Amino acid sequence: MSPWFYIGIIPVLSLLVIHLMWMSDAKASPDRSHGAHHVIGVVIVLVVLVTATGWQIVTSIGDDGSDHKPPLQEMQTIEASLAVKKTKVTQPQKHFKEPDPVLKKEGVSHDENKKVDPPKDEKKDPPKPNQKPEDIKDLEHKFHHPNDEDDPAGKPVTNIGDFNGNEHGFATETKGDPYFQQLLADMQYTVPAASKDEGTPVGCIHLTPDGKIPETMFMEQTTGDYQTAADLALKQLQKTRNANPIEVPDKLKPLTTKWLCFKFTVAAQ
Amino acid sequence: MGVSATAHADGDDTGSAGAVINVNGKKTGLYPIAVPTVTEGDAAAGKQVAEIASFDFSVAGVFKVLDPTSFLDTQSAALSIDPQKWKDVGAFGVMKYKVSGDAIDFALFDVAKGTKPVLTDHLARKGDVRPVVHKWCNEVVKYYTGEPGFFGSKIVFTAKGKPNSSIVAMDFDGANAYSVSHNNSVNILPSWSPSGGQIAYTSFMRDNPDLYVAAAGGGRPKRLSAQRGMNTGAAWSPDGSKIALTLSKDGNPEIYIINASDGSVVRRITNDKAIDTSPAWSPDGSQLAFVSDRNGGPQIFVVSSSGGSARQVSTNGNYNTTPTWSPKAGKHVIAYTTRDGGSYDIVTLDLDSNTMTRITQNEGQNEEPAFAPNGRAIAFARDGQGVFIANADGSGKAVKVWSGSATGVDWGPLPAP
Repeated sequence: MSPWFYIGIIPVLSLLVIHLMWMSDAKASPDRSHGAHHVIGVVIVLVVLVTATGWQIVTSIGDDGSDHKPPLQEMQTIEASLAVKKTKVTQPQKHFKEPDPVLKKEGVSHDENKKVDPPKDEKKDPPKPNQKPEDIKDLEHKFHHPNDEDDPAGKPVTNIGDFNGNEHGFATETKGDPYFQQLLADMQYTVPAASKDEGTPVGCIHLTPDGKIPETMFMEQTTGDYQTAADLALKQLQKTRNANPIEVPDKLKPLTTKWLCFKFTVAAQ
Repeated sequence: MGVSATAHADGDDTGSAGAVINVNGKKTGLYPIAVPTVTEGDAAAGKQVAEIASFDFSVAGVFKVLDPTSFLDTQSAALSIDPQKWKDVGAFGVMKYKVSGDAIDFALFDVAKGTKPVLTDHLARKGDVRPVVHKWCNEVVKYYTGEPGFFGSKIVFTAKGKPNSSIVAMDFDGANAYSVSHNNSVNILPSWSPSGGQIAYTSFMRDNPDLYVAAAGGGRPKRLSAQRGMNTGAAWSPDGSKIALTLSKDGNPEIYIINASDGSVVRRITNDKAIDTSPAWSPDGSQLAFVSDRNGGPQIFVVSSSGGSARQVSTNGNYNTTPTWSPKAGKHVIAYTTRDGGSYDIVTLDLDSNTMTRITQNEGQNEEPAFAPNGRAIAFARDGQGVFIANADGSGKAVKVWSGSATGVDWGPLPAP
């Protein structure tokens, strides 16, 4: 709606209101002069208000006579600035005078009374007290172990066949002699997880010097799956060694005249 | 196996023994069992019994079924054995049976105990021998492990079609497959209720991915959760009263718990700007595992089922998804899909020892694991090939139980005794 409409309608409405007020005053009071004064005061106030409002509206009208502003995002932004030469502004600075350069004279001390020490020989350590050339031998004795010789094994602490610690190691529990270890590998001893048993079978083999196993037997048997597992293990070992015998080492030859037994235990779950 | 102390090489104080070597064994590996086919009497039924029992034992996660071509004993219906002949072929246990018109007599022998069976049963049958054999095999598993077997349980999965996909349920061994969903839409991510009576799944039948619950045998589904956005990845709580799932009603996928009866939201579990999906309940219902990419790639997190802060538990690689919790009480083991190089594999992670075990390797793209109800096996989908079962301890080779394109595998509860 055009702003000129507001400029026209506001005074008309104001006069209409004044007229209505005056009419009501005239009815309520016979004193017409009092009502006239009241009307004049109101008219003055209205004129001032209408003038101010009209001026405000006129100043907001665009060149095309419309007061609709375009959306901000549709407005073109123009960067404009004046080129003004600025003087450099700096923080307050302290003024100080640089010291005069000092000219040194080569080879001449400024302190004529000062005594100059002779140059030190830094490579030379001060002599240690009581050090004599023959003390080098004492150092060897000090830092060398008295038994630091090429004899690391020392004396054997076990005998052959004592499997608590053979010549291949000194652990409290060892892998045993390699020959026995190979026997165990050839057994392929397995205990199925669902096995039901409680005993500990002890099975034995007769080992010939050439490494064959002509016979097996059980010194102790159980009546459950552990017995079956041990039985299968000995049969597997016998089958493997008879097919591919491995000669018994000389140090173990005494065992070929006796039963070599295996105690089949099952670790707790 | 190992060797510890031995003694007395000279043998003087051990009688005739020259030396005694301790052989320390460890209980590990599968139990060798023989299932000879009985050809006396009803030969067809006898052959079927042996096939079903051999399959059950092979996927039980307990047994190694011996090759019948090596058997030395006569394959008669007599419920007795010659122990030595079975020992010679490496058998620890032997299953014998006798099929009659209306029943099957079963016997289990421990070859170390001689000719007397350690377990017997007489089970009536009505036509199909399958449920009877499953029941017997469950008894055998319980004899050896003290745990119930999962034979007779069911598996549900998404059978991928083009363009639609359907929910299919079947016996754990792939028999008796049937469709649970009956619509021409996309149906995904099924979850079997702990009672076994219901299956929850997400369907696009009304365009939005809403959560439906149907009777396990099929039938008209009930729309349980129809929040705006995703209603996916349902997982029943162990007591069956609640369902954890992913909702994106507020814009971002988060883990929620809803009532299984009416779908009303009980509580919101996660509140993170990352994507949180695939909830899985711990067996005691106190915790939830889920997938989140809050630390970068998708990883497995664990959070209390009452909410709170989540902790990342998967640390291998940069892509780990679809967790599922082992139902074994007292254990805290999660199986999930991991990306290793260019392939997807199934692994398990023991949260107590932080030990990871690989279930699949170099065998195609594997995903969506689900534990058997006794925790001894894992079912999963292999892309483009079908549904497989593998031992949960990583031993053995996975066995295919359903051929086709499958995903979203879940394993139902234990069968009724």
